[in-house]
Amino acid sequence: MKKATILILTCMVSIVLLVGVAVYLSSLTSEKVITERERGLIQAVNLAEAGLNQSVAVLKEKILVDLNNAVKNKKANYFQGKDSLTFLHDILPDFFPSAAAGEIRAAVTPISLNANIPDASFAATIVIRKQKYADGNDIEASSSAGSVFNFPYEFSIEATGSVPGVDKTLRFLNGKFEVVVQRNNFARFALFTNHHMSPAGERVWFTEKTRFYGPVHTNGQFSFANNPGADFGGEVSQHLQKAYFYNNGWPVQLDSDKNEPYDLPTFSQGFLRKASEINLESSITTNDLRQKVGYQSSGGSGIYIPNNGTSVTGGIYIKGSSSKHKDNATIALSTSGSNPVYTIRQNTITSADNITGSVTKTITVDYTANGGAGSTNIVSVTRNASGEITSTTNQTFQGVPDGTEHKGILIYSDDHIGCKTGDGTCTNAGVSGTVAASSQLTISSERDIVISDHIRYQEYSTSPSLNANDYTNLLGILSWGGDVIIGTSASSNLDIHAVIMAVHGAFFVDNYRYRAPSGDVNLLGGVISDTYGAFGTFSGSQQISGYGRNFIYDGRMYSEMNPPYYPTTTEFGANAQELAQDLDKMGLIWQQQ
Amino acid sequence: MKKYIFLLVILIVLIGVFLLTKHKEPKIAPVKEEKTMELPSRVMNTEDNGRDRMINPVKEEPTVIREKPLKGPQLN
Repeated sequence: MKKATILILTCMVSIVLLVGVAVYLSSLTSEKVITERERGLIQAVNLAEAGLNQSVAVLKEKILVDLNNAVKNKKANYFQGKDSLTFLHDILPDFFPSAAAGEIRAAVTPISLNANIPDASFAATIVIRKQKYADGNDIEASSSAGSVFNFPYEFSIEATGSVPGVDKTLRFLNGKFEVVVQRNNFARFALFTNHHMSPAGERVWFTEKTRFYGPVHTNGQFSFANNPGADFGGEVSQHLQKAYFYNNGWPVQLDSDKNEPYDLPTFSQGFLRKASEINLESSITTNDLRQKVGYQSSGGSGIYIPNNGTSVTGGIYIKGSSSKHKDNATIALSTSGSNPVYTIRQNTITSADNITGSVTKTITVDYTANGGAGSTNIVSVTRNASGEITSTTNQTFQGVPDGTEHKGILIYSDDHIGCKTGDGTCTNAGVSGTVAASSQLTISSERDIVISDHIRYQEYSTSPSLNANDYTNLLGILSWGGDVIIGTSASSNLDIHAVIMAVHGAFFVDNYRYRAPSGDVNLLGGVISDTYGAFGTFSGSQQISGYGRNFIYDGRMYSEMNPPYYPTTTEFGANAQELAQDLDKMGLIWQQQ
Repeated sequence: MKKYIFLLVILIVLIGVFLLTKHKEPKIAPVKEEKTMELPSRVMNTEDNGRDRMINPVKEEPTVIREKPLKGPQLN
């Protein structure tokens, strides 16, 4: 009996142990299944997310790079009247297929995945449609002035990540962007030179006194000196393959971004050599600008504000004798509240270049007068050779002197503005002052323009660094046939807030070899010139004369902002600001299905 | 003695039943619901702005071209 009981007990214990082991093994198996499925889900979600991110990057590349390149040499009539979806397909047919059912579905080729994840993949599709009004109708492509074309789109991205047994789909919804095709703006660079030499053919070096924060390009080759060397905060590119290095006074040409240990410039975004040449050909000429300012070839030297007796009909133009310098104009920029005041003085001279007197016109612009149409008050004071006032007039006209196309205020001179060393006894200063907060202005001359002292925007910020991003005030200084020159009267540590262009000349410092070391020129804007003018001289790491350069690109120029009547290239370019933003600022909605 | 054997059997059975119910394999519910939300922070800042390829430096071995030594102050 006792043995039987023990046997039964043993059997029962065995059964219970077997059941326990079976349950344990079963739970292990189920946990493995669950874990594998969860891992598969996570992998699939991550793959789908990778698909979304890659698709956004591909879309950015296609629109901001490939499309921008593809429109470059098209003519304006190519874009005129084109349907938005047809435009995308026609311009990049390899990526954007024909539209069907009102949308383009572009498949994104997946990137190569890690071989440690067998049979894993994702498939992603970018779906592009026309943007819609609130009533559901499509917003069609539009154009303005026959040279700016807008193509508004909305997009979504669907990406499905797959691992064996698990598929997971994620979407980005609510994406929007507008492709703006227009002639490229010259003001795209913190520095652009066609030939990176002085006008006399001398090499001008980037030293530790050279700092550029923005795109820098030359169609020639750059020259770098010293360790530490120049500091570049933006993209730097040159057309030639080799750059010059100072090499402690024994210059060498290298296909390199440094010459250790002597010359070590700092490139935050790389130094591209053998970049494509950029055409400096302008789509407009001096004659176009003369027409837009209302220039009349009849009439003698003087300061003119074209009008019909009640309203201004053009801009402001100055006529003078380009072969003589004593009648070169001086322009002082000042403000009245947030409105601009331009004080322009010009000597009257004889044919023998003797001063007989002067005319000073103080032009006060009020943008808000006449119900927003604006007003222009002109006080004209005439003096004799002794400086005594001989007459004064005061006139007010409706409108502002913003040229025939009302793009912004335009001051145009067929003569030099200001005087530089070598212009004889001429003492006319040039341009200086404050650009009014509400104004956008271009000062253009067919000859030299001298900057006589600080030119600052009325509104700008120094946080986090010098910028005018949230402000309207804007100045372009444009010399067609001469140079833009920092005059001998300019202060040390000079501030210049302007986009400067010397189409056939250079931007340089007057008397740069002999001017005492004067700190830096702090430029907010950009410089576009044919050659690269000198700002000073150095020996080793010592500044011997003149200024250093601290050039900060005005980021507003990279979008559609442009000084009024500023030249554009003959080439078109495309941009989509919404796609240039970081992903988290694109307003996308993330959806998991 | 019988009383203890009976209690042991009951205890073993109860443990068996408990284990069986405790480790019953759960079913995996299919994911059907749609979730829509603002972009999560973990996918931010991962994009390529599409311009990188324009600024890739040329990586070739430098070939040196030497010039005559410079004399006097140089332009900057």
